[in-house]
Amino acid sequence: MIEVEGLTKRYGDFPAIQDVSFKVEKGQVLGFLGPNGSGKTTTMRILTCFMPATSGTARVCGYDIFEDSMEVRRNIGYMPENVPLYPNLRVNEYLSYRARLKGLGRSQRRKEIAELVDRCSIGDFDRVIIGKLSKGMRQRVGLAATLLGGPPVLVLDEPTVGLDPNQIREILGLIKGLGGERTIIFSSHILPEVEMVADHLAIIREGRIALTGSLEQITRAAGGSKVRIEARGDGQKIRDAVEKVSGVRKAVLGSRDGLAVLEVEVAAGTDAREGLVKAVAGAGGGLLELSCGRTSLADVFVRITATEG
Amino acid sequence: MASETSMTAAACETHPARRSSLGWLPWVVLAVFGSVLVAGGNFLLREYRPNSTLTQCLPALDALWGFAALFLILTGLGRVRVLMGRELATFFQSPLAYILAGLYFLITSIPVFFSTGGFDYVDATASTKAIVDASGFLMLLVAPIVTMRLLAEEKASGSMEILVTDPVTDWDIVLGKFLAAVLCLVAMVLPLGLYVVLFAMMRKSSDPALEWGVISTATVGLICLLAFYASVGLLASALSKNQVVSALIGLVALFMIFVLGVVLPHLFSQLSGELGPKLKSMAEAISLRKRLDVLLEGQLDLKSIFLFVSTTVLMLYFSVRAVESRKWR
Ligand SMILES: Nc1ncnc2c1ncn2[C@@H]1O[C@H](COP(=O)(O)OP(=O)(O)OP(=O)(O)O)[C@@H](O)[C@H]1O
Ligand SMILES: [Mg+2]
Repeated sequence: MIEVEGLTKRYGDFPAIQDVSFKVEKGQVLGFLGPNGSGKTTTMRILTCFMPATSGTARVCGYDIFEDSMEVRRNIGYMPENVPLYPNLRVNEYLSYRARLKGLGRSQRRKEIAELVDRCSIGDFDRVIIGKLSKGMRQRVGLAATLLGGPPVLVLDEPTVGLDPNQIREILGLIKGLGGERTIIFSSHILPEVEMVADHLAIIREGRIALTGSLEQITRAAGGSKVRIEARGDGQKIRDAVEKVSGVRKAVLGSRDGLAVLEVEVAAGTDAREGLVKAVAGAGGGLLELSCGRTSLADVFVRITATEG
Repeated sequence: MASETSMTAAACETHPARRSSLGWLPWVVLAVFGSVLVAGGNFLLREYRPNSTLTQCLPALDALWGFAALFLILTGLGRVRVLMGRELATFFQSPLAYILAGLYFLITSIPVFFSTGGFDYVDATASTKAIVDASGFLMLLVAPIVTMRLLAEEKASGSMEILVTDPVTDWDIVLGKFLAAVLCLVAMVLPLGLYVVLFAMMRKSSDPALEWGVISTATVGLICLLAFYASVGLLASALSKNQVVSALIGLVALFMIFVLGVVLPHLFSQLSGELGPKLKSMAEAISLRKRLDVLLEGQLDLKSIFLFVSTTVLMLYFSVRAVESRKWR
């Protein structure tokens, strides 16, 4: 549905994104995750034909974004960051305006607007002037307008920014409900939000895609696991031994109630537990506890976006 | 990740929306039907009433119908119509529009007052000339204020991003806004037409003659002028995010065009030798002010109209390029 290949965008000499590639299949919800200024908006603007890339290509619904810009725009519903609407119009006027711009006929316009007002819980606000709406309500109006005409692809730039937790949950629920039926890319820099809704993830950092894949793939591939060891004995010696075990990336020594406590990071795809038990015993330690934990997505995110480079 | 075969357009279910595709039909039918009527009217009048006043006004009336037909056809483009409609609604919602229109009426009443010897007698012809003449000046100030927000506001608020990523072309956007601006300016001048109508109705035999030929070509000149000013203002609005800045750009640009059109011919006429008159006539040929004066003489000068229309189209083209400029910045 969406294929992005080697997109690069330079503002002057500054590369906002470099060699960005990913793929979204039909019905998938892709969470586009990255810290501020990492190039999420830039990528989305290119995908929605707001501006061209410096190099690279992308296809949406099989249409090239440079050659078939009109078809691409017909098939994408784009909600920009901060949802700029026209504050002087009433909600229903705005929706009707957008519907007509998208070429919907009168009867379909009425039907879809009524449906979307319902679906996006706009309710009684449909005759209120947009300038008087709260941020959350404006966001819903923006989303409803984006959904007009039933575009099969949705591109939502930070749809939850500036909302309170309840509103965030509602908007995310809405997006989740649209998944499966529509192909969705939505950006955010808040991981738990993405985890709630997305089934796939693309993490972008300093303009480059650091990681893409399904949620499980990512936690598995980049995450590895953590092992916690409590042992009696010479902590220093135990740690040295543990660090020699194959697959162990790092071991951090601490202590609690006179016991040595080791936080061991194990590389992905290896099971080091047996080796660890032997190593502790070999260092003359008495193993009291060994517990395994998956690295959470949050650890992955923090590591990718913060520590590397 | 599982690599799927690349999707083709056919494999991808297209948007389910039924699109109204015949929205343009009534407008085009209206334009064509009207043109047939106008052509028939032309023929009949020339054949059977060759000397009537109406026949004398025919060239100007045809030109006016030409503008109207062009407007109808452009309005027929659904997306242009939608964009124009929103622009007009916004304009007529703002108190600024009414204040401007009121001021415009009051200020232009002054030359009308003088054109009739201080309302001593009625002279529809002279008042029409005075109105168009004054508009050439006053609109320098008013047009940029009317057009300043057209594109600047969209850029500043970010709604431009939605606008250009909806399925509309940059020409749709520029044309929609341009037509709205022209309609606004026409609506502001329209009340002044009351003077002309009243004076024409109140005329006694002792009053100056009623020259419909002049009135009709002056109207053509006025519409050309308003369209041109609107297009310059729109371009100015496309060049800045800031409404005040874009109003200033428009004002300065229009003022320079105006001054050059008046000053250059004058300067060249001072030159000695053969070159002087030659340059002067060249400068006059492209001076919009002089072209307007020709139309005010009651002569439907096609060259003048062509100059107005072509410069207007050029401004619109530059506006489209300016809207596109987001793509290479
Ligand atoms: N018009 C522009 N001109 C120059 N640089 C720009 C422009 N737009 C964005 N940038 C730069 O490109 C980089 C990527 O910006 P972008 O807006 O895509 O980030 P983002 O991931 O959307 O960030 P955020 O989470 O804050 O929205 C930033 O460093 C930004 O400063
Ligand atoms: Mg952004």
